[in-house]
Order: sequence, then C-alpha cells, then structure tokens
Amino acid sequence: MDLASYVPTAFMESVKNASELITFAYDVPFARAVVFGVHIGGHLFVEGLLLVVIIFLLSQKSYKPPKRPLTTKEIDELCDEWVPESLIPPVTEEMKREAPVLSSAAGPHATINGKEVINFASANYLGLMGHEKLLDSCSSSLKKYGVGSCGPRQFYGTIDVHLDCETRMAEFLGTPDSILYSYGLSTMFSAIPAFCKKGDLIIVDEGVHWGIQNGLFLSRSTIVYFKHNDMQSLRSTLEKVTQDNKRAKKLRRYIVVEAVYQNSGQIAPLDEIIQLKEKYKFRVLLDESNSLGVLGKSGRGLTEHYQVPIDKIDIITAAMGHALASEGGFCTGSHRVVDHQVRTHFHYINLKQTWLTFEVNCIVLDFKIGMDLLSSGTWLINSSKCLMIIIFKTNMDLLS
Amino acid sequence: MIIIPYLTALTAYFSYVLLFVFGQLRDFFRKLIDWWKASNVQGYAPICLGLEDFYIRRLYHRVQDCFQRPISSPPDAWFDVMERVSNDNNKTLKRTRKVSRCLNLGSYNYLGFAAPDEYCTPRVIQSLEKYFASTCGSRVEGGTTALHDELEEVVAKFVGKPAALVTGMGYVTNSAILPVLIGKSLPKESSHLTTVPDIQSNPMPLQTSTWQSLRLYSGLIRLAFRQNNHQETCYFMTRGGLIISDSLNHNSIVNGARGSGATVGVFQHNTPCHLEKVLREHIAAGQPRKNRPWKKIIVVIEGIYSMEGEFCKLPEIISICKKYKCIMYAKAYVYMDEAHSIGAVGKSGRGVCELLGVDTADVDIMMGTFSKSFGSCGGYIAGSKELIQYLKHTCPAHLYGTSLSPPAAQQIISSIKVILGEDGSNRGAQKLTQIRENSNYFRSELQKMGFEVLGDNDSPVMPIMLYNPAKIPAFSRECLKRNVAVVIVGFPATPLLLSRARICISAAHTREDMVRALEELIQYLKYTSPAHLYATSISPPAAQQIISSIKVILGEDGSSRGAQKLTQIRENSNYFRSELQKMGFEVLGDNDSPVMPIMLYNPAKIPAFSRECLKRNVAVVIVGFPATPLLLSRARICISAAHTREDMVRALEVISKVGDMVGIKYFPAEPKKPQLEENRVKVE
Repeated sequence: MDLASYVPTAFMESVKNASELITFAYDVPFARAVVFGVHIGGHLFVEGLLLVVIIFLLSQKSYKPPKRPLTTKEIDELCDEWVPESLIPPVTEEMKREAPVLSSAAGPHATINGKEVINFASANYLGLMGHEKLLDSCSSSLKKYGVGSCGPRQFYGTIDVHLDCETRMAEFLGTPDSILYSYGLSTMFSAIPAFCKKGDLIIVDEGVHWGIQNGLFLSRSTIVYFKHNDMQSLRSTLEKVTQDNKRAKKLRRYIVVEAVYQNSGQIAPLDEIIQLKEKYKFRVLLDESNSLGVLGKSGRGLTEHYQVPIDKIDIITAAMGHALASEGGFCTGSHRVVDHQVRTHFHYINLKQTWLTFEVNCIVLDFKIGMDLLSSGTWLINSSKCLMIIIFKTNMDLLS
Repeated sequence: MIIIPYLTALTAYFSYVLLFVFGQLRDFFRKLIDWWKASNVQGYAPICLGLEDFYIRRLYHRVQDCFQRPISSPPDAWFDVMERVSNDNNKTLKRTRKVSRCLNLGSYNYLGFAAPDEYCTPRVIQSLEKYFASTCGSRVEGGTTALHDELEEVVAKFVGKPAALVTGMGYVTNSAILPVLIGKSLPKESSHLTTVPDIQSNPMPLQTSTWQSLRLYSGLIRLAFRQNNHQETCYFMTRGGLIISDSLNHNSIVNGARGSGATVGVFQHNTPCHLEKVLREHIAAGQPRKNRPWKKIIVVIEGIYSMEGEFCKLPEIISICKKYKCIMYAKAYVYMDEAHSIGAVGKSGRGVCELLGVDTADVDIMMGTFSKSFGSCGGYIAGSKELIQYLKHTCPAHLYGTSLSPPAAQQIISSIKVILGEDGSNRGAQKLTQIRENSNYFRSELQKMGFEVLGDNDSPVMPIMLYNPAKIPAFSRECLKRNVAVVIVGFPATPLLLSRARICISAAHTREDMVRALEELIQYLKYTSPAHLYATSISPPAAQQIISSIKVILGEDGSSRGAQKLTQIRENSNYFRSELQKMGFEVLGDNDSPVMPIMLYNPAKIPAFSRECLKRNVAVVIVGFPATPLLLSRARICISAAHTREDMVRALEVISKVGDMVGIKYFPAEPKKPQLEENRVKVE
C-alpha cells in the first residue's frame, strides 16, 4: 500500500475511533440521567469538563521566567569589573597648540610675541574699541559701581544703568522694550527656550552658530533644518511642514535665522523671509549679532538694510561683543509680540526670569556710550570684508 | 532634611489652592472678555498656551515688586534701592527717582569686593586703558590677551590645580562644559557644516515627546534624520556617559546635563549613602536598553548649595567615588561647582576643599565663578593640564564666546592677590576672618531668635524658612520698609512648600550692620507674630520687673548678685542632675541646663509620681500625652538659683523614695564601675 492511499484511510480510522469514543461517553449510564428535570446529555458532560479545564487554566498564572534581582555580591563584582574610560580622549599635538596671546589690546593693530600685527580677527566692526569717550565713561562707572553686580537680575543685580540701557536699546531700534543679557553667547540659548517649548516647531538655517544650536536643543522643540541661506529650501520646508499635518497650525511656529551668519558671512535675504513668514504664518527669530551697527544706513541692522519695518520681525537678539565693542547681549521684539505679551500680562517676564547673573556694569555702560556715539553724529563702519572706512552723518531725526 | 510642621503645611497648601482657584476664576473672566473682542493676530498660535504662564500672571505678578529691585549704587554692605510704584496692581512697575538706603543682605558680595576697592579699582582702570573694555573676539580668535593667560595661571594656583580655563560667564561654563566632557561627539573642525548635525542627529525629540506628538512629527523627524545619516553613527558611538547629579544642583548644571544628552541619575541632596546606592545600581545595570557598561561616570556636586546654605559632604562623596575605581586614577569623576564657596570659605579662601581638608587632586574638575566673592564676572574650570588642553580645543564657550573682558580679568587677579595677601597688606585675611565671624554670629543670633535657619556653620549663605506663600512677599516688603534688603525664593526655585528667604553675609558688613539687621528681623517677627498683634500688651509693672531683673543679671544694680545667681543655678543644676542620674533615673537634657525631665513612660506613673511627691511636700510638674508623644510622658524639674543645698538634698531624698515606690529608676542604681576596674587590674 502506498502512502497516498494510506493517509486518508488512517484519518478515517482515527475519526471512527473518536466517534466511537464519543458514543461510548453518550452511552455511559449517568449520561442519560435527569437532574431536576434537566437531561444531562453526554455532550453537556463533555462541555462541563472542558469548562472546568478552561477555568483551571485561566486561574493559573501565565508563565514568567523567575525574576532574580542581582545579589549584593553580584553587584559588587560588576562594580569591581567596571572600567571607566579616561575623562578625556588622549591629547593630540593639535590640541597642544595655543591660541595667540596678545600683549596689547585687540585693536586694529595688536602685538603678538613682540610683533606688531594688523588685526583681522576681532569683530571690532565700528572701531569703537578704545574710543576716548568710552574709556572715560567706563572708568567713571568703575569708580562708581565697581566691576561686578554680585547677583542675578532677580535679586538686586539690576542696576539703574541696566534699565537705562534697556530703554536706550529699544529706543534705538524702535521696539517697545528690550532685555539685557550679561553674555552674548547665552542670549540666544536663553531666549529660544523662553519662547519655544516642547512640541513647538522651529525651522532653522543649518548654518547657525553654536549659541543658537544649543538654544534649539534646550528648547526641546521639533527642529527642522533648511539649507544654508537657501530660500528655495526654506520655502519647500515650510510647504512640507504645513501641508503634512494640519495640527501644525495650532502650534507655535518659528523660523530662526541669523542676519549675518557668523560661520559663513552671508547675509540673510530678509525680504524673502518676511514674505514666506507671512505666507505660512511663522514667527521670525532673528539673531543680529554681526549685523547690528554694521548693516543699514544708521546701523540699525538687517531690517534697516532691507528697509523692512522692525515690527515685521517678532524677536530680535544680538550679542554686543562685536560692533558695539562691549560684552553681553540683548533681546527685543516687535510691537505685535510685545502687545500680545502685555495683553496676557506676560511681558517678557519669562525671559527675565531666566537665571542669568548680570555681571559687568562697566561693560554695560560701555555699551551705552557706544550707543550714544552711534546716534550722536559721525561713526565708523568698518566692514569685515573690505576693511573700508566710511564716514557719514546719521539722520538725527530718525533717532529722536 | 526639613520637617514642616503639620499645621504650616496645611495652611501653605490651603493658600496655594486659594491662589490657584482665584487665578482660574480670573482667567475664566479674562477669556470671556477676550472672546468678546476678536483677536487681531490671525493664524498665529499664541505665544503662551493654556496654563503655561498661569504662574507668572496670577502668582508672580502679585509679588513682582519683591524681585528685580533696581539699585543705583554698587552692591556693597549698604546700597540704594530705587523705589518703584505700580498703578495697575503690580502688573507693571515704574521706577521713581526716590531711593532708600538699605542694608544689603541679598548680594553674593561675600568678601566685599563688589564696591570699588582701594587696591583693585586703580588696577582695573589701568588695564581698561591698556586693553580696553572688550576684545571683540572669542578666545581663539584674537581674544586672548596676556591678562587672560596671567589670570588662568593665578586661578590654577589659587584653587590648587595644575591648569585652569577661564570663560566669560559662570552660567555658560557649566552648561557648555558638561556636554563636552560627556555626551556628544565634537567636530574636529569648527566649520558650520560639521557642527550642525550634532544637534540635528540628536534623538532628543524622540525620547522626550509624547506618543501623540511622536506620531505627528515622525515624518518631520525622519526628514531631519535622513539628511545626515552619516553623522548619526558617530554620535551614538560616543554616547554612554552617565551624570550623577545632586537633586538640588543649580539650574546651569541641570541645563548642561540636559544639553549633553547623557543619562542623568539623581541622588538625594547631600546624602553620600544614597549616592553610593545610585552609583551601584547604575554600574550594575549599565546603559539603558543596551546594558553595556558605562563609558564614564561624572558625579556633579556643588560646594555650597546656594538655596540651602549647606556645604557638600565632600570627604564622604570623594571616598565613595574613589571606592568605585579599578585601575589607577580611574573612577567616577567628581565635578564640583564652587560658585558660592570659592573665595568665601576656607582658611585662605580656597573654598570647600580647604575648609573640609580634602586634597584638590581628588576633585577631578573644579568649577567656579568670579561673580560672587571676587566681585567680577566669568567662570573657570580647573583640572589637569591635559583636561584643560582638551577643553581649550573643544569647549564651545572657549571657541565661540566673546572672551572675558580684560578689566574684569584684572579685577579677579587683583582680588585674588588681596585674598592671598600679595598686595602687601593683611586685608585679605581680615576679610576672611570677618566673613566667618559675621556668618557664625548672624546664624547663631537668628537661631536664638527662633527662626528656622538652614545650612552649616561657617557658610555665609543662610536660608530662613517661610513656608507659607503669603509670608514670602510680607517678609521681603517689611524688611525693605525697615531698610533691609533680603532675597526671597519661592515655588519654581524651591519645592512648593519650602519657600524661604535667603541671607548672604558679606565681609563688608560691620557688627553694627548685623545688630541692626537682627533688630529689623525681630521687628518682622513682631509684625507677623499673632501674639504680638492680638494679645494684650505687657503690663507696665511686668515690664519694669523684666528691666530690673536684666539689670541685676548684668550687674548694673551695683552688686554682684546677678553673677552669684548665675553661678548658683549652674551649680545647682549640675549637682541635681548628676545626683538624679546616680540614683538611676532616666534624665534628659544637657549639663548646665536647669530643666531636667525624668522619664515616666507609664500613664499610671504620671499621677502617682506627682501625688506622692506632693504628699512629701515637693511640687513637681508632670507632662503627659498631648504635650509629649504618647509613650514619652515625663516629670519635669526646674532648678532655681534660689534653691539652697539643703533644699536640694531634701528634694533628692523625696524623689528617690517616690522613684523607688513608683518604679521609675530605669537604670541600675549603682554602676558596676569598681568591679570593672578590679578586673582590669587583674588582667594587667
């Protein structure tokens, strides 16, 4: 007999056996018993049995491998075996290279190792560094206030010159109010987390400097990069982001750009950015660190350069360690943002609350005088690229 | 550990609930009004969503005037606080021209260098003239002057480490250096194209976002990832660091740890044994998911906790970190933030290591700021030469941040010279003694007054617990009214219930300043204490009695009775206490204390002891359940200088008898000392 005919017969036989078994079960004497008028059929008996089995199985705990926490001895062993890496990777020759040390001020001409050099490294765009008026005001403020403020803004670290400087700065740019920070690098990475929270959407140029990158990271928002200074890329990114999900409309959306990119020196095409921003309803965070005092007819930065009203830009930050030959940074905003904040009684308090110690009074004063110089007549534009000196008069009316 | 009284906790919670409910009500009406007039910013999501700024609008604005008070003078021992007025219920504050001269208990001016200094200021101005106010460049881009080099040498020498790196701001030092030490890989070259993907390839949004937003943004995130796949591998390879941080570390450290992307473990504030537990657990478990061993572990602590006023338990922590070493010099690394302690504590101002006798070699990375004791700005990192070389090559604050302003650098150099006595005077040493004495005096006086003061002796930071939210602005405003400026700290900076006022003592404060401040604080107590507000005032004869008795104590009545009384009470108390102890009673309390509780424990013994004593003409006080814990009922004996020796002997006899009767001599009557001594002789 071959296998093909054997399998069906075997199957038939087993079925037959099973049916015989069932008939037997039906035929056992108590299978036809009647309890309280109910016929206990054989199948009921089998079902009852099955039910019991099911209940039994259900009542059992599902199988889990036994959990054995590590014993103290095992933990000891693990701790003994643990070999940490050295704190830092080995120091290469490259790392031993020291930065040049200036034995004079970092003015246009500096001395390194006794050699007189022309300084192309410092961001002293306006040549305000070492201006007589600045030095006078600095030393008088040093004599009056000392160097440090010994406390954060929150706790008696707010000195009247800080507040004067804030109003002066806002006046200069034509914004309602501004906030000072004690360190340029920290300006952006404090301002961004203050406005952008988890879940918000930030579209950012991929060439922004470290301060902004860190701010983006700390904000925990969703970050999408577009190609460096490429408006086509920005447009397509915005398109993609707003089309893909409808909820994006309910989120706070920001575009973060630098006015003059610290890393590449390129100028952001603000007019196009404004168009895109208004089309897709994004807010713009603009970092003017390298453009304030450089671009524009009277040094008011990128907005003046493109002749865009300043309230089109929602939030502006800038470090003052460049053209203003000072230290620290500030953040200011458009009427609309500030209005909104006043309406919700928010009023930038979030920013002011960030716990940054305000340290250098003399430097703030230095900045203040710098502003006075900027607005009081002739000032210098010392463009980083061509090192050309242009002297011209500013329009006094614009300022007052 | 702070233990809040039950009632205080209850009232504090109640106040917060009240504030919240009223805030919500006001928000509700505000919404109705807003809904009425349509919003003009179409299409933009509001800058504040939902409850995000609830705290600021409804809680912070109420107490806004207590914060950011502008000053118009240097923050010396006394300063001018500008007065502000508000016409709209504290929503906005306007500066006025008026100033009030206040005692400054708020600034971190520990050594008094904040004001112009006879030694420092002329040198600072000189350096300003030579190097100007700013360098307009980062340290590597022509921002390093000879002054910066000198400063780094001086700082390294001062803190006792081989090398140091100085940055322009203290906050940035922490938040920029932690990510470099642990966590992200760093670009070889600092061109923008390599720095960007660092963040781009970071999976942080993935980890932190909720499922909903994850689904929503998965497309976006994928988009972000796709662009830089090659960077990802590099990023993940260098991960595997663990930061173990004290639970009360400063915000800058928290930000730095978050920015590093490393796993962060937290141990209970200043509890070395918990640190050990956390360390062991983490080492045993390895990295999350992959269970690989950690690459390195950094333990981050602070020298003085600015909100607690406590010193870190450095010796214990160091020994624990050392314990988990296997090869030489490798262990859990210690990163200590000495923002508040450097310059302020230690015999020569060298910080916590000097104070607690710890070798600086045991602390791998020492960080500190110059904005506190030195009256300048900026921060430093001190460590091994290799560490500093590495950081100089990689730390973003060094590479991108504007370098420290030269006059500020000069201020630090000069102030360190003053502290070390290298200016040819002993002003530095005087300042250090002064701040220690001032702090200890002020702390002990505060404690005597009944304030709850946190922190350790010698620490110039002393938080006073307030607990109730209403007391926060009250304390600040009332102090300001009395020309004392203090700092108050509330909810987001501290746990909800543990709001406090913080006092920072300076070496510039004189003893008169302190006495004055203490008087003002008493005034505050008067203002807030219900006993003062509602109780009938003290009767004139009673007042006279107090005055006369104080005069007697001080010997101002022309006799030596006061002194005699004091000797008498001390002798009496000590005699009585030692006799009681000899008899076998369980007596609480210390020597010299005239109050001695005798433990009774059993409720039946309470009246028995009292009645039996009274029968024998001795009156004692007994204290039971609601006043003491249920089990710890006791009799209390108060000794007076008026008791004579005969009185005492008699009383002792009676008490001994009653004690035997009632059965409260819980300790054997005769210690077996002689026997022990005999034994010892035999052995010898």
